[in-house]
Amino acid sequence: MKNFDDIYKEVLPLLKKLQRQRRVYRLLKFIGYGALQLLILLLVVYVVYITFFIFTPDTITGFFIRQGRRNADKLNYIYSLQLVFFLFIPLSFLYTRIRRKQQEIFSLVVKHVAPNFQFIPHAIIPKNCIDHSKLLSKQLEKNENAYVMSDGKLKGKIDGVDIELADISLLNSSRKIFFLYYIPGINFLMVALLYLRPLFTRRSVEDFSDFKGLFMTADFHKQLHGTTVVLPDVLEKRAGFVGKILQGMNIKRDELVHMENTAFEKEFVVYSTDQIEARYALTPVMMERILAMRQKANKPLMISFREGKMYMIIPEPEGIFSFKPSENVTKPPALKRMYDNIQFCLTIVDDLQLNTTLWKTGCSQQHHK
Amino acid sequence: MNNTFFIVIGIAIVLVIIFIYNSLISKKNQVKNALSGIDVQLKKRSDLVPNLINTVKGYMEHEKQLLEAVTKTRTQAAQQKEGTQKRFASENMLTQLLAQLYVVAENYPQLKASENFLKLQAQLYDIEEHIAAARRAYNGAVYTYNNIVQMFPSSLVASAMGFKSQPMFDAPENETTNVNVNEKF
Repeated sequence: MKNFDDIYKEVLPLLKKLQRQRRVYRLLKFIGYGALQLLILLLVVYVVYITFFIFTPDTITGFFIRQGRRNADKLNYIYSLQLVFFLFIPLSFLYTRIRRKQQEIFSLVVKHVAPNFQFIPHAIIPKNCIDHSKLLSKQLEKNENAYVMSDGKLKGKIDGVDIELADISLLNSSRKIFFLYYIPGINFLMVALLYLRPLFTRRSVEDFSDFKGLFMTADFHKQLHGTTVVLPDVLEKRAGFVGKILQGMNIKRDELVHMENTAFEKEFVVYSTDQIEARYALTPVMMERILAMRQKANKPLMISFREGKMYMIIPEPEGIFSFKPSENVTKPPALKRMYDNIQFCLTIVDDLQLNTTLWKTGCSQQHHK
Repeated sequence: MNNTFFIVIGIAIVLVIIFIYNSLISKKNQVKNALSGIDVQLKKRSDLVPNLINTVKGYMEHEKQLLEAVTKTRTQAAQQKEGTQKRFASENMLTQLLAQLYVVAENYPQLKASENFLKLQAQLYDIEEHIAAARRAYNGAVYTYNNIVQMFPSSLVASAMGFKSQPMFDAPENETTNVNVNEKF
Protein backbone atom coordinates (compact mmCIF):
# COMPACT_ATOMS: atom_id res chain seq x y z
CA MET A 1 0.00 0.00 0.00
CA LYS A 2 1.36 3.42 -1.00
CA ASN A 3 1.64 6.19 1.55
CA PHE A 4 -0.19 9.49 1.19
CA ASP A 5 2.73 11.44 -0.32
CA ASP A 6 3.19 8.91 -3.12
CA ILE A 7 -0.52 8.88 -3.88
CA TYR A 8 -0.59 12.68 -3.91
CA LYS A 9 2.30 12.80 -6.38
CA GLU A 10 0.55 10.32 -8.66
CA VAL A 11 -2.80 12.07 -8.53
CA LEU A 12 -1.48 15.66 -8.78
CA PRO A 13 -1.83 15.99 -12.61
CA LEU A 14 -5.48 14.95 -12.32
CA LEU A 15 -6.01 17.32 -9.43
CA LYS A 16 -4.62 20.19 -11.50
CA LYS A 17 -7.03 19.40 -14.34
CA LEU A 18 -9.88 19.19 -11.88
CA GLN A 19 -8.94 22.51 -10.30
CA ARG A 20 -8.99 24.20 -13.76
CA GLN A 21 -12.46 22.77 -14.48
CA ARG A 22 -13.70 23.87 -11.07
CA ARG A 23 -12.44 27.42 -11.72
CA VAL A 24 -14.28 27.61 -15.05
CA TYR A 25 -17.36 26.16 -13.42
CA ARG A 26 -17.30 28.75 -10.67
CA LEU A 27 -16.88 31.56 -13.21
CA LEU A 28 -19.78 30.30 -15.35
CA LYS A 29 -21.88 29.86 -12.27
CA PHE A 30 -21.13 33.39 -11.16
CA ILE A 31 -22.13 34.77 -14.59
CA GLY A 32 -25.23 32.57 -14.76
CA TYR A 33 -26.46 33.50 -11.31
CA GLY A 34 -25.67 37.18 -11.95
CA ALA A 35 -27.69 37.14 -15.17
CA LEU A 36 -30.51 35.31 -13.44
CA GLN A 37 -30.67 37.87 -10.66
CA LEU A 38 -30.68 40.66 -13.24
CA LEU A 39 -33.52 38.96 -15.07
CA ILE A 40 -35.58 38.66 -11.91
CA LEU A 41 -34.91 42.31 -11.12
CA LEU A 42 -36.17 43.26 -14.59
CA LEU A 43 -39.29 41.18 -14.07
CA VAL A 44 -39.97 42.84 -10.73
CA VAL A 45 -39.54 46.29 -12.33
CA TYR A 46 -41.91 45.28 -15.12
CA VAL A 47 -44.56 44.01 -12.67
CA VAL A 48 -44.28 47.23 -10.63
CA TYR A 49 -44.60 49.26 -13.84
CA ILE A 50 -47.79 47.40 -14.86
CA THR A 51 -49.33 47.57 -11.38
CA PHE A 52 -48.79 51.26 -10.68
CA PHE A 53 -48.77 52.93 -14.07
CA ILE A 54 -51.12 50.93 -16.33
CA PHE A 55 -53.48 48.92 -14.14
CA THR A 56 -56.49 51.07 -13.08
CA PRO A 57 -59.99 49.85 -12.05
CA ASP A 58 -61.66 50.97 -15.31
CA THR A 59 -59.24 48.97 -17.44
CA ILE A 60 -59.81 45.67 -15.63
CA THR A 61 -61.96 44.16 -18.42
CA GLY A 62 -59.83 42.84 -21.14
CA PHE A 63 -56.72 44.29 -19.59
CA PHE A 64 -54.54 41.32 -20.24
CA ILE A 65 -55.69 41.03 -23.86
CA ARG A 66 -55.19 44.72 -24.63
CA GLN A 67 -51.92 44.96 -22.80
CA GLY A 68 -50.78 41.74 -24.36
CA ARG A 69 -51.41 43.15 -27.84
CA ARG A 70 -50.13 46.62 -27.04
CA ASN A 71 -46.97 45.41 -25.36
CA ALA A 72 -46.33 42.38 -27.50
CA ASP A 73 -42.89 43.61 -28.44
CA LYS A 74 -42.02 44.33 -24.85
CA LEU A 75 -43.27 40.91 -23.72
CA ASN A 76 -41.27 39.22 -26.46
CA TYR A 77 -38.28 41.06 -25.18
CA ILE A 78 -38.94 39.84 -21.64
CA TYR A 79 -39.44 36.26 -22.82
CA SER A 80 -36.22 36.40 -24.76
CA LEU A 81 -34.49 36.96 -21.47
CA GLN A 82 -35.25 33.34 -20.71
CA LEU A 83 -32.24 32.66 -22.91
CA VAL A 84 -30.25 33.26 -19.75
CA PHE A 85 -31.16 29.71 -18.83
CA PHE A 86 -29.08 28.46 -21.75
CA LEU A 87 -26.09 29.56 -19.72
CA PHE A 88 -26.90 26.77 -17.32
CA ILE A 89 -26.55 24.09 -20.00
CA PRO A 90 -22.74 24.27 -20.27
CA LEU A 91 -22.70 24.62 -16.51
CA SER A 92 -24.52 21.33 -16.17
CA PHE A 93 -22.13 19.59 -18.63
CA LEU A 94 -19.15 20.93 -16.76
CA TYR A 95 -20.58 19.80 -13.45
CA THR A 96 -20.88 16.25 -14.84
CA ARG A 97 -17.29 16.35 -16.06
CA ILE A 98 -16.10 17.56 -12.67
CA ARG A 99 -17.98 14.75 -10.98
CA ARG A 100 -16.41 12.20 -13.32
CA LYS A 101 -12.93 13.58 -12.73
CA GLN A 102 -13.52 13.49 -9.00
CA GLN A 103 -14.64 9.87 -9.27
CA GLU A 104 -11.51 9.05 -11.25
CA ILE A 105 -9.34 10.55 -8.51
CA PHE A 106 -11.32 8.79 -5.81
CA SER A 107 -11.01 5.51 -7.67
CA LEU A 108 -7.22 5.92 -7.85
CA VAL A 109 -6.95 6.69 -4.14
CA VAL A 110 -9.13 3.66 -3.31
CA LYS A 111 -6.94 1.45 -5.52
CA HIS A 112 -3.94 2.31 -3.37
CA VAL A 113 -5.58 2.53 0.06
CA ALA A 114 -7.94 -0.44 -0.24
CA PRO A 115 -6.84 -2.69 -3.13
CA ASN A 116 -9.45 -5.34 -2.31
CA PHE A 117 -12.27 -2.83 -2.65
CA GLN A 118 -14.18 -2.12 -5.79
CA PHE A 119 -15.37 1.35 -6.69
CA ILE A 120 -18.45 1.35 -8.94
CA PRO A 121 -18.88 4.91 -10.30
CA HIS A 122 -22.44 4.59 -11.57
CA ALA A 123 -23.89 2.50 -8.76
CA ILE A 124 -26.15 3.94 -6.12
CA ILE A 125 -27.50 2.79 -2.80
CA PRO A 126 -31.16 1.97 -3.57
CA LYS A 127 -33.78 4.03 -1.81
CA ASN A 128 -35.43 0.92 -0.35
CA CYS A 129 -32.13 0.06 1.33
CA ILE A 130 -32.05 3.49 3.01
CA ASP A 131 -35.68 3.06 3.88
CA HIS A 132 -34.95 -0.38 5.34
CA SER A 133 -32.33 1.08 7.65
CA LYS A 134 -35.03 3.23 9.32
CA LEU A 135 -32.40 5.90 9.84
CA LEU A 136 -33.77 8.60 7.59
CA SER A 137 -37.44 7.80 8.00
CA LYS A 138 -38.13 11.43 8.98
CA GLN A 139 -36.58 12.79 5.77
CA LEU A 140 -38.09 10.05 3.58
CA GLU A 141 -41.51 10.55 5.11
CA LYS A 142 -41.33 14.26 4.36
CA ASN A 143 -40.31 13.61 0.77
CA GLU A 144 -42.29 10.65 -0.42
CA ASN A 145 -40.74 10.98 -3.87
CA ALA A 146 -37.20 11.56 -2.67
CA TYR A 147 -34.50 10.57 -5.11
CA VAL A 148 -31.27 9.10 -3.93
CA MET A 149 -28.14 10.26 -5.69
CA SER A 150 -24.63 9.11 -5.03
CA ASP A 151 -21.24 9.58 -6.62
CA GLY A 152 -20.56 5.88 -6.91
CA LYS A 153 -20.41 3.06 -4.46
CA LEU A 154 -17.49 1.44 -2.68
CA LYS A 155 -17.87 -2.28 -2.15
CA GLY A 156 -15.64 -4.84 -0.51
CA LYS A 157 -14.95 -7.33 2.21
CA ILE A 158 -12.94 -6.95 5.40
CA ASP A 159 -12.27 -10.11 7.44
CA GLY A 160 -15.29 -11.80 5.91
CA VAL A 161 -17.59 -8.83 6.53
CA ASP A 162 -19.28 -7.48 3.41
CA ILE A 163 -19.46 -3.71 3.42
CA GLU A 164 -20.83 -1.09 1.04
CA LEU A 165 -20.22 2.62 1.28
CA ALA A 166 -21.53 5.61 -0.63
CA ASP A 167 -21.98 9.32 -0.31
CA ILE A 168 -25.71 9.79 -0.65
CA SER A 169 -27.92 12.78 -1.34
CA LEU A 170 -31.65 12.76 -0.83
CA LEU A 171 -33.27 15.06 -3.38
CA ASN A 172 -36.59 16.56 -2.58
CA SER A 173 -39.04 16.16 -5.43
CA SER A 174 -42.32 16.23 -3.58
CA ARG A 175 -45.34 15.35 -5.73
CA LYS A 176 -47.22 18.24 -4.18
CA ILE A 177 -45.26 20.89 -6.03
CA PHE A 178 -43.77 18.93 -8.90
CA PHE A 179 -46.78 19.56 -11.19
CA LEU A 180 -46.02 23.30 -11.06
CA TYR A 181 -43.08 22.68 -13.41
CA TYR A 182 -45.59 21.84 -16.17
CA ILE A 183 -47.52 25.13 -15.96
CA PRO A 184 -46.20 27.76 -18.40
CA GLY A 185 -45.03 30.85 -16.61
CA ILE A 186 -44.96 29.24 -13.19
CA ASN A 187 -42.31 26.79 -14.33
CA PHE A 188 -40.14 29.81 -15.03
CA LEU A 189 -40.55 30.95 -11.45
CA MET A 190 -39.99 27.43 -10.11
CA VAL A 191 -36.67 27.11 -11.92
CA ALA A 192 -35.68 30.55 -10.70
CA LEU A 193 -36.62 29.52 -7.16
CA LEU A 194 -34.62 26.34 -7.50
CA TYR A 195 -31.48 28.27 -8.38
CA LEU A 196 -32.10 31.10 -5.95
CA ARG A 197 -32.79 28.87 -2.95
CA PRO A 198 -29.10 28.29 -2.12
CA LEU A 199 -28.58 32.05 -1.91
CA PHE A 200 -30.97 32.26 1.02
CA THR A 201 -30.03 29.10 2.89
CA ARG A 202 -27.22 28.64 5.37
CA ARG A 203 -26.41 25.19 4.09
CA SER A 204 -23.68 25.09 1.49
CA VAL A 205 -25.33 22.65 -0.87
CA GLU A 206 -24.66 22.44 -4.55
CA ASP A 207 -27.38 20.05 -5.53
CA PHE A 208 -30.42 21.18 -3.54
CA SER A 209 -30.40 18.01 -1.48
CA ASP A 210 -32.35 17.58 1.72
CA PHE A 211 -29.75 15.33 3.20
CA LYS A 212 -26.18 14.48 2.34
CA GLY A 213 -23.79 12.12 4.03
CA LEU A 214 -22.10 8.75 4.13
CA PHE A 215 -24.27 5.65 4.05
CA MET A 216 -22.75 2.34 4.99
CA THR A 217 -24.07 -1.20 5.23
CA ALA A 218 -22.15 -4.03 6.84
CA ASP A 219 -22.85 -7.61 7.84
CA PHE A 220 -23.83 -7.99 11.45
CA HIS A 221 -23.50 -11.58 12.61
CA LYS A 222 -26.31 -11.64 15.10
CA GLN A 223 -29.75 -12.97 14.37
CA LEU A 224 -32.10 -10.05 14.83
CA HIS A 225 -35.84 -10.17 14.40
CA GLY A 226 -36.58 -6.52 15.03
CA THR A 227 -34.96 -3.14 14.50
CA THR A 228 -32.74 -1.14 16.80
CA VAL A 229 -31.94 2.44 15.88
CA VAL A 230 -29.23 4.58 17.50
CA LEU A 231 -29.51 8.31 16.82
CA PRO A 232 -27.65 11.38 18.08
CA ASP A 233 -29.39 12.64 21.23
CA VAL A 234 -30.06 16.24 20.31
CA LEU A 235 -33.29 16.73 22.25
CA GLU A 236 -32.01 15.56 25.63
CA LYS A 237 -28.91 17.74 25.25
CA ARG A 238 -31.11 20.76 24.68
CA ALA A 239 -34.04 20.11 26.98
CA GLY A 240 -32.58 17.66 29.54
CA PHE A 241 -35.11 15.55 31.42
CA VAL A 242 -38.04 17.07 29.50
CA GLY A 243 -36.32 16.07 26.26
CA LYS A 244 -36.11 12.48 27.48
CA ILE A 245 -39.83 12.46 28.28
CA LEU A 246 -40.60 13.83 24.81
CA GLN A 247 -38.40 11.17 23.22
CA GLY A 248 -40.43 8.55 25.08
CA MET A 249 -43.60 9.96 23.53
CA ASN A 250 -42.25 9.90 19.95
CA ILE A 251 -44.94 7.89 18.19
CA LYS A 252 -43.02 7.83 14.91
CA ARG A 253 -40.27 5.74 16.45
CA ASP A 254 -40.31 2.40 18.26
CA GLU A 255 -39.98 1.96 21.99
CA LEU A 256 -37.39 4.13 23.75
CA VAL A 257 -34.57 2.11 25.30
CA HIS A 258 -32.67 3.43 28.33
CA MET A 259 -29.13 2.13 28.17
CA GLU A 260 -27.15 1.72 31.37
CA ASN A 261 -23.98 3.32 29.96
CA THR A 262 -24.44 6.97 30.98
CA ALA A 263 -21.88 8.35 28.52
CA PHE A 264 -23.58 6.48 25.69
CA GLU A 265 -27.02 7.53 26.88
CA LYS A 266 -25.87 11.16 26.94
CA GLU A 267 -24.60 10.98 23.38
CA PHE A 268 -27.26 8.78 21.76
CA VAL A 269 -30.92 7.93 21.93
CA VAL A 270 -31.93 4.33 21.22
CA TYR A 271 -35.26 3.16 19.84
CA SER A 272 -36.07 -0.49 19.34
CA THR A 273 -38.87 -2.88 18.63
CA ASP A 274 -37.56 -5.10 21.44
CA GLN A 275 -35.88 -4.02 24.69
CA ILE A 276 -33.90 -7.26 24.97
CA GLU A 277 -32.82 -7.33 21.36
CA ALA A 278 -31.59 -3.74 21.62
CA ARG A 279 -29.29 -4.81 24.41
CA TYR A 280 -28.32 -7.96 22.52
CA ALA A 281 -27.10 -5.80 19.63
CA LEU A 282 -25.71 -3.06 21.85
CA THR A 283 -23.58 -4.98 24.33
CA PRO A 284 -21.62 -2.91 26.89
CA VAL A 285 -18.50 -3.40 24.78
CA MET A 286 -20.33 -2.37 21.59
CA MET A 287 -21.55 0.82 23.26
CA GLU A 288 -17.99 1.69 24.26
CA ARG A 289 -16.81 1.06 20.69
CA ILE A 290 -19.54 3.24 19.22
CA LEU A 291 -18.67 6.02 21.67
CA ALA A 292 -14.99 5.76 20.75
CA MET A 293 -15.90 5.88 17.06
CA ARG A 294 -18.09 8.93 17.64
CA GLN A 295 -15.10 10.69 19.17
CA LYS A 296 -12.81 9.55 16.39
CA ALA A 297 -15.20 10.69 13.65
CA ASN A 298 -16.07 13.91 15.47
CA LYS A 299 -19.37 13.87 13.60
CA PRO A 300 -22.85 12.70 14.57
CA LEU A 301 -23.41 8.99 13.97
CA MET A 302 -26.67 7.26 13.13
CA ILE A 303 -26.64 3.48 13.40
CA SER A 304 -29.27 0.81 13.01
CA PHE A 305 -29.28 -2.95 13.32
CA ARG A 306 -31.78 -4.93 11.31
CA GLU A 307 -31.99 -8.43 9.84
CA GLY A 308 -28.31 -9.29 10.01
CA LYS A 309 -27.14 -5.90 8.77
CA MET A 310 -25.69 -2.86 10.41
CA TYR A 311 -26.45 0.47 8.74
CA MET A 312 -24.58 3.64 9.48
CA ILE A 313 -25.03 7.22 8.38
CA ILE A 314 -22.63 10.07 9.00
CA PRO A 315 -24.28 13.34 7.95
CA GLU A 316 -21.88 15.56 6.02
CA PRO A 317 -23.30 18.36 3.83
CA GLU A 318 -20.16 18.42 1.68
CA GLY A 319 -19.87 14.67 1.24
CA ILE A 320 -17.35 12.34 2.83
CA PHE A 321 -15.67 11.32 -0.42
CA SER A 322 -15.93 14.64 -2.27
CA PHE A 323 -13.88 17.80 -2.29
CA LYS A 324 -15.29 20.94 -0.70
CA PRO A 325 -16.67 23.34 -3.35
CA SER A 326 -14.41 26.25 -2.50
CA GLU A 327 -11.14 24.53 -1.63
CA ASN A 328 -8.05 24.35 -3.82
CA VAL A 329 -7.86 20.66 -4.65
CA THR A 330 -4.22 20.82 -5.74
CA LYS A 331 -3.14 21.49 -2.15
CA PRO A 332 -2.44 18.34 -0.09
CA PRO A 333 -5.08 18.94 2.67
CA ALA A 334 -7.93 18.48 0.16
CA LEU A 335 -6.74 15.03 -0.91
CA LYS A 336 -5.70 14.20 2.65
CA ARG A 337 -9.29 14.70 3.79
CA MET A 338 -10.50 12.21 1.16
CA TYR A 339 -7.67 9.80 2.05
CA ASP A 340 -8.45 10.02 5.79
CA ASN A 341 -12.15 9.49 5.18
CA ILE A 342 -11.49 6.30 3.21
CA GLN A 343 -9.11 5.11 5.93
CA PHE A 344 -11.72 5.87 8.58
CA CYS A 345 -14.39 3.88 6.76
CA LEU A 346 -12.08 0.91 6.36
CA THR A 347 -11.43 0.80 10.09
CA ILE A 348 -15.12 0.77 11.04
CA VAL A 349 -15.26 -3.04 10.85
CA ASP A 350 -12.25 -3.31 13.13
CA ASP A 351 -13.36 -0.53 15.46
CA LEU A 352 -16.75 -2.09 16.02
CA GLN A 353 -15.31 -5.62 15.73
CA LEU A 354 -18.02 -6.65 13.32
CA ASN A 355 -15.77 -9.54 12.30
CA THR A 356 -16.00 -11.23 15.71
CA THR A 357 -16.88 -14.86 15.13
CA LEU A 358 -18.53 -15.08 18.54
CA TRP A 359 -21.65 -13.79 16.87
CA LYS A 360 -21.76 -16.45 14.23
CA THR A 361 -24.48 -18.85 15.28
CA GLY A 362 -24.94 -22.23 13.69
CA CYS A 363 -27.44 -20.89 11.18
CA SER A 364 -25.35 -17.91 10.11
CA GLN A 365 -22.28 -20.11 9.73
CA GLN A 366 -24.22 -22.43 7.45
CA HIS A 367 -25.51 -19.44 5.56
CA HIS A 368 -22.01 -18.16 4.93
CA LYS A 369 -20.63 -21.48 3.76
CA MET B 1 -66.10 29.83 45.53
CA ASN B 2 -64.20 28.03 48.26
CA ASN B 3 -66.07 24.78 47.61
CA THR B 4 -65.30 24.91 43.88
CA PHE B 5 -61.64 25.50 44.65
CA PHE B 6 -61.48 22.45 46.93
CA ILE B 7 -63.40 20.31 44.43
CA VAL B 8 -60.93 21.25 41.65
CA ILE B 9 -57.97 20.53 43.93
CA GLY B 10 -59.58 17.22 44.95
CA ILE B 11 -60.15 16.16 41.34
CA ALA B 12 -56.57 17.13 40.45
CA ILE B 13 -55.19 15.05 43.34
CA VAL B 14 -57.31 12.04 42.34
CA LEU B 15 -56.13 12.34 38.73
CA VAL B 16 -52.50 12.52 39.85
CA ILE B 17 -52.99 9.45 42.04
CA ILE B 18 -54.58 7.56 39.13
CA PHE B 19 -51.72 8.59 36.85
CA ILE B 20 -49.08 7.50 39.38
CA TYR B 21 -50.89 4.22 40.08
CA ASN B 22 -51.13 3.42 36.37
CA SER B 23 -47.45 4.26 35.90
CA LEU B 24 -46.55 1.94 38.76
CA ILE B 25 -48.62 -0.89 37.28
CA SER B 26 -47.10 -0.28 33.84
CA LYS B 27 -43.53 -0.31 35.19
CA LYS B 28 -44.22 -3.36 37.33
CA ASN B 29 -45.51 -5.19 34.28
CA GLN B 30 -42.40 -4.17 32.39
CA VAL B 31 -40.31 -5.72 35.17
CA LYS B 32 -42.38 -8.93 34.96
CA ASN B 33 -42.02 -8.95 31.19
CA ALA B 34 -38.25 -8.50 31.44
CA LEU B 35 -38.09 -11.29 33.99
CA SER B 36 -39.96 -13.65 31.70
CA GLY B 37 -37.49 -12.61 28.97
CA ILE B 38 -34.65 -13.98 31.10
CA ASP B 39 -36.58 -17.17 31.77
CA VAL B 40 -37.18 -17.77 28.07
CA GLN B 41 -33.46 -17.59 27.37
CA LEU B 42 -32.57 -19.73 30.38
CA LYS B 43 -35.04 -22.35 29.18
CA LYS B 44 -33.42 -22.32 25.72
CA ARG B 45 -30.03 -22.88 27.30
CA SER B 46 -31.35 -25.56 29.58
CA ASP B 47 -32.72 -27.42 26.54
CA LEU B 48 -29.34 -27.32 24.81
CA VAL B 49 -27.26 -28.59 27.74
CA PRO B 50 -28.24 -32.31 27.39
CA ASN B 51 -27.24 -32.18 23.70
CA LEU B 52 -23.92 -30.66 24.67
CA ILE B 53 -23.30 -33.29 27.32
CA ASN B 54 -24.16 -36.09 24.88
CA THR B 55 -21.79 -34.62 22.32
CA VAL B 56 -18.82 -34.17 24.63
CA LYS B 57 -19.08 -37.22 26.88
CA GLY B 58 -17.63 -39.52 24.23
CA TYR B 59 -14.50 -37.36 24.01
CA MET B 60 -14.17 -36.21 27.64
CA GLU B 61 -14.13 -39.46 29.54
CA HIS B 62 -11.74 -38.08 32.13
CA GLU B 63 -14.00 -35.14 32.95
CA LYS B 64 -16.86 -37.20 34.30
CA GLN B 65 -17.04 -35.12 37.48
CA LEU B 66 -17.44 -31.88 35.58
CA LEU B 67 -20.08 -33.31 33.26
CA GLU B 68 -22.01 -34.67 36.22
CA ALA B 69 -21.86 -31.29 37.93
CA VAL B 70 -23.24 -29.61 34.80
CA THR B 71 -26.12 -32.10 34.59
CA LYS B 72 -26.87 -31.83 38.30
CA THR B 73 -26.86 -28.03 38.30
CA ARG B 74 -29.09 -27.95 35.24
CA THR B 75 -31.60 -30.23 36.96
CA GLN B 76 -31.44 -28.13 40.12
CA ALA B 77 -32.05 -24.94 38.18
CA ALA B 78 -35.00 -26.48 36.35
CA GLN B 79 -36.56 -27.52 39.66
CA GLN B 80 -36.49 -23.98 41.07
CA LYS B 81 -39.43 -21.69 40.60
CA GLU B 82 -39.06 -19.27 37.69
CA GLY B 83 -37.84 -15.76 38.54
CA THR B 84 -36.60 -16.62 42.03
CA GLN B 85 -33.18 -15.77 43.41
CA LYS B 86 -32.46 -19.48 43.98
CA ARG B 87 -33.16 -20.20 40.32
CA PHE B 88 -30.85 -17.38 39.26
CA ALA B 89 -28.12 -18.64 41.63
CA SER B 90 -28.34 -22.11 40.06
CA GLU B 91 -28.30 -20.64 36.57
CA ASN B 92 -25.22 -18.57 37.45
CA MET B 93 -23.53 -21.71 38.67
CA LEU B 94 -24.45 -23.43 35.38
CA THR B 95 -22.96 -20.51 33.43
CA GLN B 96 -19.69 -20.88 35.30
CA LEU B 97 -19.61 -24.64 34.85
CA LEU B 98 -20.24 -24.32 31.12
CA ALA B 99 -17.42 -21.79 30.85
CA GLN B 100 -15.20 -24.28 32.65
CA LEU B 101 -16.32 -26.99 30.24
CA TYR B 102 -15.29 -24.90 27.22
CA VAL B 103 -11.86 -24.29 28.78
CA VAL B 104 -11.37 -27.99 29.49
CA ALA B 105 -12.50 -28.81 25.93
CA GLU B 106 -9.33 -27.06 24.77
CA ASN B 107 -7.39 -30.16 25.85
CA TYR B 108 -9.36 -32.39 23.46
CA PRO B 109 -8.37 -31.63 19.85
CA GLN B 110 -10.82 -34.18 18.43
CA LEU B 111 -13.68 -32.54 20.31
CA LYS B 112 -12.55 -29.11 19.12
CA ALA B 113 -12.72 -30.40 15.57
CA SER B 114 -16.23 -31.80 16.00
CA GLU B 115 -18.66 -29.74 13.94
CA ASN B 116 -21.54 -30.66 16.21
CA PHE B 117 -19.68 -29.40 19.25
CA LEU B 118 -18.68 -26.16 17.53
CA LYS B 119 -22.26 -25.57 16.46
CA LEU B 120 -23.59 -26.23 19.95
CA GLN B 121 -20.93 -24.05 21.50
CA ALA B 122 -21.75 -21.19 19.13
CA GLN B 123 -25.44 -21.56 19.90
CA LEU B 124 -24.75 -21.55 23.61
CA TYR B 125 -22.55 -18.46 23.32
CA ASP B 126 -25.35 -16.75 21.43
CA ILE B 127 -27.85 -17.72 24.12
CA GLU B 128 -25.46 -16.46 26.81
CA GLU B 129 -25.46 -13.11 25.01
CA HIS B 130 -29.24 -13.16 24.93
CA ILE B 131 -29.33 -13.97 28.64
CA ALA B 132 -26.99 -11.08 29.38
CA ALA B 133 -29.17 -8.76 27.28
CA ALA B 134 -32.32 -9.96 29.02
CA ARG B 135 -30.73 -9.37 32.42
CA ARG B 136 -29.74 -5.86 31.41
CA ALA B 137 -33.26 -5.23 30.16
CA TYR B 138 -34.56 -6.52 33.50
CA ASN B 139 -32.22 -4.24 35.44
CA GLY B 140 -33.28 -1.31 33.25
CA ALA B 141 -36.95 -2.02 33.97
CA VAL B 142 -36.25 -2.44 37.70
CA TYR B 143 -34.28 0.82 37.75
CA THR B 144 -37.21 2.75 36.25
CA TYR B 145 -39.72 1.00 38.53
CA ASN B 146 -37.63 1.59 41.66
CA ASN B 147 -37.26 5.26 40.78
CA ILE B 148 -41.03 5.67 40.76
CA VAL B 149 -41.46 3.64 43.95
CA GLN B 150 -38.81 5.61 45.83
CA MET B 151 -39.22 9.15 44.46
CA PHE B 152 -41.54 11.74 45.98
CA PRO B 153 -44.53 12.12 45.49
CA SER B 154 -45.05 8.76 43.75
CA SER B 155 -43.45 7.06 46.79
CA LEU B 156 -46.53 8.07 48.83
CA VAL B 157 -48.88 6.30 46.43
CA ALA B 158 -46.51 3.31 46.09
CA SER B 159 -46.26 2.75 49.85
CA ALA B 160 -50.01 3.19 50.32
CA MET B 161 -50.76 0.70 47.55
CA GLY B 162 -48.14 -1.81 48.69
CA PHE B 163 -45.63 -1.46 45.82
CA LYS B 164 -42.13 -2.48 46.93
CA SER B 165 -38.69 -1.94 45.40
CA GLN B 166 -37.37 -4.86 43.38
CA PRO B 167 -33.82 -6.23 43.62
CA MET B 168 -31.48 -5.75 40.66
CA PHE B 169 -29.90 -8.75 39.00
CA ASP B 170 -26.17 -9.04 39.69
CA ALA B 171 -24.44 -10.68 36.75
CA PRO B 172 -21.52 -13.00 37.46
CA GLU B 173 -18.17 -11.32 36.89
CA ASN B 174 -17.24 -13.52 33.92
CA GLU B 175 -20.39 -12.46 32.06
CA THR B 176 -19.54 -8.79 32.04
CA THR B 177 -16.58 -9.38 29.75
CA ASN B 178 -16.78 -10.46 26.14
CA VAL B 179 -15.45 -13.92 25.40
CA ASN B 180 -13.06 -14.08 22.49
CA VAL B 181 -14.10 -17.13 20.54
CA ASN B 182 -11.03 -16.98 18.32
CA GLU B 183 -8.96 -17.81 21.36
CA LYS B 184 -11.22 -20.64 22.32
CA PHE B 185 -11.42 -22.37 18.97
